[in-house]
Amino acid sequence: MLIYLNTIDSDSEKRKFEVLYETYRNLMLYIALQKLHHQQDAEDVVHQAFLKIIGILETIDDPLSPRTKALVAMITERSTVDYWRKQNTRIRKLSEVPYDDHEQQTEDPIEEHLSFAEAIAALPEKYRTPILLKYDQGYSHAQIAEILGTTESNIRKTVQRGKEKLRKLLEE
Amino acid sequence: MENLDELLYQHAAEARDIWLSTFPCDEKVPKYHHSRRFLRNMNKLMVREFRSPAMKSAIKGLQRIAIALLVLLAITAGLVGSHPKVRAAVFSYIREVYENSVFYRFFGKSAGVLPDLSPGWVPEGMTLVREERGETRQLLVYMNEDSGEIVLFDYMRMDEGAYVSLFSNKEGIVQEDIQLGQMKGVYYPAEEGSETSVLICIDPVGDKALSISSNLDRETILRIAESISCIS
Repeated sequence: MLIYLNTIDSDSEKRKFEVLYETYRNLMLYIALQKLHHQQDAEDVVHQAFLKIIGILETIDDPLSPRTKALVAMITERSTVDYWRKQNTRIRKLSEVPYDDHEQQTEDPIEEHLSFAEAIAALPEKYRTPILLKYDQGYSHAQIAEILGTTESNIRKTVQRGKEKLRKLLEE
Repeated sequence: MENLDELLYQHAAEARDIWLSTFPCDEKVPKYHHSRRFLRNMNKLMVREFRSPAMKSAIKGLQRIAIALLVLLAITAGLVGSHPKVRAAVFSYIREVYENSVFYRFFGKSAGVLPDLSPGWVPEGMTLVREERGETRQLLVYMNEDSGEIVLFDYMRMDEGAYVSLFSNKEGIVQEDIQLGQMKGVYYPAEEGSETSVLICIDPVGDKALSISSNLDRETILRIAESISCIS
């Protein structure tokens, strides 16, 4: 790691990343372990999440802000879900047992009497992450698609569906 | 109902904080013992991602050489009985030239101490960006970050069984014998599609090898080589 450090010309970016790494690597591993329960798999997820974070490093102003913490947590959570689904695809094919609690979660009714903010927070990750990336973090659909590794049209649809879920909730 | 977009913009930060509160606070997040594999992968990631653009470009150019120029130590000399087209024995090494590869194989136990490699001259604007000095090997990298010009010195003490290999993508390696002070050298110019030329020198005793890889022109590479104290 130290071999080339003296060649880095973007010192502020490097320093920013080091702060992110030191501050959040334990939280990221914690998030990944909640679903994967295996440290090596969880570390692979954290590594993948850091790769994504490097891609959007210039959009991060304050590494220690709650907004950045949420961004890091969301990227890790999504990376974990992606990893988990990928790892379990083979098992599902073999056993034909429904496996995806992520998908099941999307159909769960949202608890009544929630505030609007609580309702957003309680949305399934599939909807909550792109909605928060857009409305809290200020990313465009294209940027969200890049962060989450999907297409822009998919993000538009997902955000729209998430908003429909919220609208129904508010009309109740 | 208010416009949903407005509501989302209005309440997103609060929603984010509510969601974040579902995780343990910073003090209560477990302090994990990260595996060496993870730490190594992260180190690699940082090195790779935070190189300067000029360094990235230069290293990309040198990757061909990194692949082509392999220095393997402590390999048995059992392969010496192969059938080279040309075999030139000088002191305690032989040079084997094949269609698209060259091998320098070394014999005997080296007793020589590896002197500090120090180029007396490098082109203006070049600075030392990497330096590794060991008892049996020294690696120096100079580069001009503005122009992307780079020179890589790899200086090795060669013992029984060690060899230097140079591979080419094409058949028929172009080479030129060079005499640099007391050292004999062979210059391998950059091939088509590559900017990197290589100069390999062996000391008179035959127990030390120096390779200079660079995207500079021939004359400049030779001038740098001639300025090196252990050659002149």
